[in-house]
Amino acid sequence: MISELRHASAEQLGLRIAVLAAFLGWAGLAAAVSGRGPTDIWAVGIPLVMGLLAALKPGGLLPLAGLGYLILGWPVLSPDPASAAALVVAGLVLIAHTCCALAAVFPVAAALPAGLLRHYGIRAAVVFAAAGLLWCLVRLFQAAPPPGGAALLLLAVLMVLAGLLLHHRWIRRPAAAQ
Amino acid sequence: MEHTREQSRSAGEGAQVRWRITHAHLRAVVLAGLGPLAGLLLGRPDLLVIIAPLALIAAVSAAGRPTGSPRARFNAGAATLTEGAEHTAAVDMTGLQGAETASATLASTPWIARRPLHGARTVRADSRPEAGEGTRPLRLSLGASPTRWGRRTIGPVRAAAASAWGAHVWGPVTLPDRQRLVLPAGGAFDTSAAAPHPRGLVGQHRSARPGEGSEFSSLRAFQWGDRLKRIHWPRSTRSSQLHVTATYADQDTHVALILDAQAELGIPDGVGAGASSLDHAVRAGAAIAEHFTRQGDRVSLHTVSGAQTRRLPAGTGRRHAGRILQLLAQTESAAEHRVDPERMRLLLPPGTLVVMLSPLVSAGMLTRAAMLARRGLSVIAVDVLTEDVQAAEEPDPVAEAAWRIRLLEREDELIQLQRHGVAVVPWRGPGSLDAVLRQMARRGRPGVQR
Repeated sequence: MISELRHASAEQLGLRIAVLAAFLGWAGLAAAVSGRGPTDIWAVGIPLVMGLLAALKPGGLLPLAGLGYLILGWPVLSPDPASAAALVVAGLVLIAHTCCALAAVFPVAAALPAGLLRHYGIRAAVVFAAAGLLWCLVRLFQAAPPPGGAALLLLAVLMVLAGLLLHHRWIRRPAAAQ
Repeated sequence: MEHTREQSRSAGEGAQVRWRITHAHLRAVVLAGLGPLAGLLLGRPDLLVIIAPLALIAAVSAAGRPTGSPRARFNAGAATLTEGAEHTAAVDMTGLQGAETASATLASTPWIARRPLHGARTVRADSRPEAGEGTRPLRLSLGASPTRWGRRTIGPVRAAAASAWGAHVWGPVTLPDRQRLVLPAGGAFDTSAAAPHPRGLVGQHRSARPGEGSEFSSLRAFQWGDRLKRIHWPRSTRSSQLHVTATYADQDTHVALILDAQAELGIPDGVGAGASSLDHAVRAGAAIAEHFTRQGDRVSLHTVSGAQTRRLPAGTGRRHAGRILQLLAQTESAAEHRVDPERMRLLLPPGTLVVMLSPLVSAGMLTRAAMLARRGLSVIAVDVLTEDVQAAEEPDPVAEAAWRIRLLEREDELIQLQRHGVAVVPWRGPGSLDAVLRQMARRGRPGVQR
């Protein structure tokens, strides 16, 4: 893994550093929110190790384990479900996932095409905006819980996803059908 | 025909591979499925926010699954290349509908300089939607410039394609390598001196005797057999006797190149960098052959090697020069197993100019040169063990001392060789043979040119 990185392009190194930074960001946030401090193994130690492994081998199952820890560990460390920190965590998960995916599919030594990273930046921003919308809904429901509780919330999320899927299919329909 | 077979073989290999989902897509789907469940169990709606980006990416990736059937073909370019020349190999990919990027990586092989540095290139396949579909391929160019003569391997190449968010990949498919013959770069070689002993009736050297040619010699009385177009009418009308224009014959010479491939001294490092003695010999042979064939002389080649002794009969012209380069490119270094001085007849006719390219460390080659000179042939021994040939680091001090003693012996052997009438010239590129050729043309004894 490390020997491969000796020939890595600048973009590949940047992607892997971004993965590590996302895990570091999560660790810092978790340490601050939980009040456990920077030496806590659950809030800082394990995420750092997992981030390092994911950055070194972004193509395997290690990123799945790492991101699983970030997602499932957050409710344990953060007491407030309506905190804005959840939105930050969503952003960090998005960064870590996207950078791992890109680092895994391109040859280590290859420079990425001009504009590809910018393109992905815009895509990620759009996805993050959708997450932001969802966070607003969560805040709204937290203040005035609707009847049906979490089941209704899940249903709403699924409806949003279905709508986005339909929209995506519509914009990518064949030219002949337009 | 060979090229067509190469293409069809590589195209067939690419067709067997299908698109598959990646760990990234699997990750997005698994986490997007686990997140809501965990959120419901723990009563934490913020988990939905956290997994929302992954769920969205998973949904978009599933909807945008590539539909094409990619095929990749590796095109290594021309069958023969020249060392030091820029060369580009290409991977042509078709059937990339739905793919976002295409990548290719050229494997590292000896004496092939890759561009980009590590031979990997990625291009966007979605920016040119017409490329990669149907008959118009998406081309990924990879620099593969040979840095040394010989038979070289380009590839193998690994080609791959990926969809948006890295959710689906095709490949990587390994496309088999290609063998290419890399011709030596002769470099600039020019000699202003005429070749000695021109023979035959074609060529660019003016002979001393009259005959068919283009250079004016004299006006003389008409003789039976003279061509009518040679009649000089002004002189004939003034003298009331037919006169014709006489010319000097245009003649060529036979240059016999003898390449000593019995030993390779020094460390080759590619064209423009460090060279071994065999590098110098092959490149000097290429330069000399190109020069003499270009000016109409006949050039033959005899490669002396324990691996394979090759001969190319005398010939001239551009095609013959190409054959010489191909033969030089296939030179293999190996010591002769047995040298019999009595059987060293090279069947060279009188008047042949023998140019021996050798580091002059082998007894067999020294004997050959001396015997040819004794037969009355003009022999030039081009010493390719020049100052820039860097000997390999010898860890054993005894071996190093032995090599120094051998070099001292060699100096003495070269003096003996010159006493036998062989001109010994160190190879210094253009003009290396000028002085000795002029001396031979004047038919003096070739002297020492150190």
